[in-house]
Amino acid sequence: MGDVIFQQLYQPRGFWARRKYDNFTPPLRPRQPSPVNNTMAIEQDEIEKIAELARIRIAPDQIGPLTRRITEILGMVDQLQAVDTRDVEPMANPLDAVQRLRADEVTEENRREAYQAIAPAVENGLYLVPRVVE
Amino acid sequence: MHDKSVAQLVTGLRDRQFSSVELSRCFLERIARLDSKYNSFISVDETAVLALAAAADRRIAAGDAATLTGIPIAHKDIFCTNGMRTSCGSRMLDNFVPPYDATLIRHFNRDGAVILGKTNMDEFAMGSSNESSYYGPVCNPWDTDLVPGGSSGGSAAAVAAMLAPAATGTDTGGSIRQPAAFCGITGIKPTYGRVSRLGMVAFASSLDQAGPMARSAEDCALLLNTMAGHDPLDSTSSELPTEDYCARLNDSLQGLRIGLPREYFGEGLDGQTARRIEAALGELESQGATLVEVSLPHSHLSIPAYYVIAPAEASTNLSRFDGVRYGHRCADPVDLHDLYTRTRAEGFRDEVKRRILVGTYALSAGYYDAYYRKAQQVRRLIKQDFIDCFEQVDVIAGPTTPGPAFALGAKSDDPLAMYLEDIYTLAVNLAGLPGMSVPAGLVGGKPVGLQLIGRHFGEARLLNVAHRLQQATDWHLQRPPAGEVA
Repeated sequence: MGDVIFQQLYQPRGFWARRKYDNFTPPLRPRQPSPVNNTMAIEQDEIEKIAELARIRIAPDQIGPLTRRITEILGMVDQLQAVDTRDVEPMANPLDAVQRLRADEVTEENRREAYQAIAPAVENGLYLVPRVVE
Repeated sequence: MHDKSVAQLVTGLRDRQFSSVELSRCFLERIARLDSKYNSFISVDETAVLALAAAADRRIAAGDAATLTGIPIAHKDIFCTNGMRTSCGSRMLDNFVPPYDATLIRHFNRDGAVILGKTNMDEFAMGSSNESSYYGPVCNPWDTDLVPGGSSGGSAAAVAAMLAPAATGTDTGGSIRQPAAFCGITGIKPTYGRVSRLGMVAFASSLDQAGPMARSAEDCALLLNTMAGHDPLDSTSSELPTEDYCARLNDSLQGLRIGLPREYFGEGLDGQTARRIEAALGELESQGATLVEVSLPHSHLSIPAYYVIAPAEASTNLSRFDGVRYGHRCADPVDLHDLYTRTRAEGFRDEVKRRILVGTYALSAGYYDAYYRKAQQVRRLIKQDFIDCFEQVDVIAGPTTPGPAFALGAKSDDPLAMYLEDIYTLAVNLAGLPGMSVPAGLVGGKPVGLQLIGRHFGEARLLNVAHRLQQATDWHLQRPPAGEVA
């Protein structure tokens, strides 16, 4: 009901009267990797290196498709390179807050058993992992 | 009972029209009967729900009730619940039963609200369609062939289908506002730091923020009163005092200046959606607000800046999932390297892996300045755009999304198309501002949302504008077709 009433009542004026909406076009596709910075053309062996750094095993047949996807994403991100950011301070926190420090006091209770109860493998209060030292 | 607002349910419980046990049973019955259509819940523990409801009834009988005592509320499965699985939509945490409560959950428990269940979500909150969940996609109650939006898609669908009176969500780049718009409900992402992040599984720590999702601004205000506040255990939590978010809901809009960013009404915005936004703004204008054209000249950079910063922070946060202390662990690891790489390969799905890899790349030696530092500089420019606008206007308004909900599967194989869904919402997180989505009517039977953006810590003003809009219109009262939610 509300829709119909407001469609009838509201006549665009001012700012609204100047706008045209009927030519709907889908959002622009991000542009392709740019020659501005040739590091954007990522190679398969780089993806393998990154996956190793991130400790994620990628099946051999997935490396190719994944490389193409990540190249697309980095190509879109490449729009940033065109922005003049000289003298702009990087912003790590939206409120520019600084790390709050607390008094150096013991406030935590020991909950080792509760935490270890949900671990995949523990023994005698220790987390178990495959042998590291031969 | 299921179609009442939280405000009406509060009154009903206080006046003993019904008990919390009766109310909770009503929603449990609806979930059991209807949720196979939507898949909006991951976990519902009936015994625990009824125990909490019975405790709430005792508290009400003893005259010791807080506002939300006895109200069933669904929580996104990203908030740690002591003794109840918290999966974050991932196989990685499918077996994770937290040994503690998130601060947000503690606040709801303190006030005696009932945890109705844990809602479905995109894996680790990474997605805009709720299709990346390990537990399967959520369907939109308005049309089950459509996505509900994401990542808080389960919360939005549950509230829209009246399987819960209200829910919590989180919003890193639009994950409360976009599903609220797609499902025809009201949701607010508060200012960064307003609601504690302790016990909320981290995605991008400088962007993540929790907020309420409900069927009206008034109901959102009631929930935010419980959720907001300083938490000494979250070092990014704001120390600014909170306010009663219900106190100014009815304030007049006379003299309010609303900025309309020209970048939010240009190319890419669906024409019919634009007309719904126009109608909503016309109503605000008729109540005395003035519409002012403003500009956010760096807004087109919010997608590239976000897709460096969010994946970079995600790659760091998600490095904790190692198969050693909790969560998934691969079978029979031959050595530590095998344990890590196979556990993470099995535990994460494609979108999460992509973002971890992009983030690892952006932070890696030699690329840090070109990506992460550059994105943080652009982030400051994006925030400055808003600061400049707020010198001229009190509130910024525009569409929440470029159009209504799209079909399930339409964009699930195209990450870049999916990322563009958040074109109007990402900048708000980058700037740390409060933003909300308010129903603005239907386009072809599908809901669309009006987005309102406020000054830092201006939640009460946003809720006031949304409430006044809802007092004069009935878009927030429109419900999915009866066949879908009966």
